[in-house]
Amino acid sequence: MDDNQIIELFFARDEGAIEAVQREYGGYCVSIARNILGDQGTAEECVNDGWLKCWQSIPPQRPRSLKSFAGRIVRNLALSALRADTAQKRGGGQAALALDELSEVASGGETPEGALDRAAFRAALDSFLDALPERNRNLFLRRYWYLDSVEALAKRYSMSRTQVTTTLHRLRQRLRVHLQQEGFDL
Amino acid sequence: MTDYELLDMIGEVNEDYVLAADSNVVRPRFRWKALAACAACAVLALGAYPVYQAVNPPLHDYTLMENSADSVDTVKEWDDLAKAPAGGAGPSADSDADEVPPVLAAPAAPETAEGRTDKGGEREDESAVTGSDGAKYWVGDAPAQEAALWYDALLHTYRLDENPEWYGGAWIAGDRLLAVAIVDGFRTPELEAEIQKAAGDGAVLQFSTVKYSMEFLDGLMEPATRALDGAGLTCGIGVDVMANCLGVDLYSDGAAIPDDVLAALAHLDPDGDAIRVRVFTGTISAYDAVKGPASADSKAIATPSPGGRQEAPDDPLETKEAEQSAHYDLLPGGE
Repeated sequence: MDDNQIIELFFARDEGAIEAVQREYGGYCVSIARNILGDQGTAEECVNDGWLKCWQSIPPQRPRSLKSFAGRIVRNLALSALRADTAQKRGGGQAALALDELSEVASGGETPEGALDRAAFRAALDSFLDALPERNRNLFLRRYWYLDSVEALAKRYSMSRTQVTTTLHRLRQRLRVHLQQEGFDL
Repeated sequence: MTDYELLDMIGEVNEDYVLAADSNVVRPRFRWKALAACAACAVLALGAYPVYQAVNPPLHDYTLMENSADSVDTVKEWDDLAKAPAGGAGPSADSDADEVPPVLAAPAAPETAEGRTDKGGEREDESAVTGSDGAKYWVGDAPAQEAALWYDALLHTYRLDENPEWYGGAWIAGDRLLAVAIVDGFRTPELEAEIQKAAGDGAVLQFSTVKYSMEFLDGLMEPATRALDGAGLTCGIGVDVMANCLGVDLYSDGAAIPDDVLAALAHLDPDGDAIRVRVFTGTISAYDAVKGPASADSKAIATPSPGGRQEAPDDPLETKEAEQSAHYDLLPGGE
């Protein structure tokens, strides 16, 4: 079943939409949540919450890519759950490590407030990613969007752990410079 | 901005990039360069060996018999040997007959059925008796004669002079004992029974298995002779049936044996055991040049080594005496 058919089920308020999206993207979303939360059970609970969020969001939204849409919802939910549970904040999930790494970039400066600022910040991030070679872009996103472990990245891209770590460090430095040049106070 | 907020913002980047990052799995790159380098090395290694072989061909082993040809005593001993009766009782004419192998000692000179014989690879004239060397080497005692008759029977039954493929040689090995060598792979109880039948029910045969057939060793004669042509060497070539090889004796007055000669022999004998090369140094007596100082499996040829090795027989008289029986071998091809 393709995305359009599933989305039509959502629009028809057919509960089969939930089964369909779970069948198509359940594994994908669980892997995202597990990377962030570090626990399979919690991740599955998070994903179930994500389906409900999808049910509530579609309609009115009609996502271009249901996979990306569902993944983004689950990611945000997982990060919210991690943030809410301070005991697990710096737990076993990759999010804790990723947050430590990103603290090199975001060091307590101003947060973009308002829709325009946030849109500008997203555009700056997109332009940063756009300027990267495909391999580095994918590496960056696998680490900071999907929150893959360094080991998983090394295996996925046939690199050594040291190469992955070094490349990510350089990408973070480059992101910091790029965002500062774009006028953001990090 | 906090790290959490940045992580949230990263979650909102272009979804095309996000999806692309999910689908992109980099397989280990095929290491063409490494493979090409390995292949080139392999080609070089494999190609270098034949080139090296062509430039530096392997040389045949030989045994250096130092001062074995120029000794006055040696020449005298061989002259004495030539005068010894009945197969050569030894270099000294008055040697004790008890010390002489029985097959060589008997002075009788009976005739064989065919009136032909071979000694030291040389066929005697038709009037000669079996196993004799003219009037010098009589093997007229009954046991030797009997074995010669057995051999003769085999010769005619199997046409040994035409070298059947199983035939590795035959020689009188004792008083009443005919040794028959069968080429490895052909030896069966049935063939042994046939040979026994052909030699006669009373024949005492001793079978052995050898690597090379007489046909093969005979076939080496011509190319080996060609290899030695033009080298300026005095040489003696003949099949040593007891050693199951082609014996090549080279005589040198001190000059090195040309590598191309040894290379040619090595080419003919890749295994190194079909041709036995001995190099005799010193002045060559006429007798040695014709007859060769020794043959068969003398002590001096014990272990050939690359580049030659000096081997001095412990007792040249005893060695030659024992070898003489090997020359009295009734070789079919007149070796």
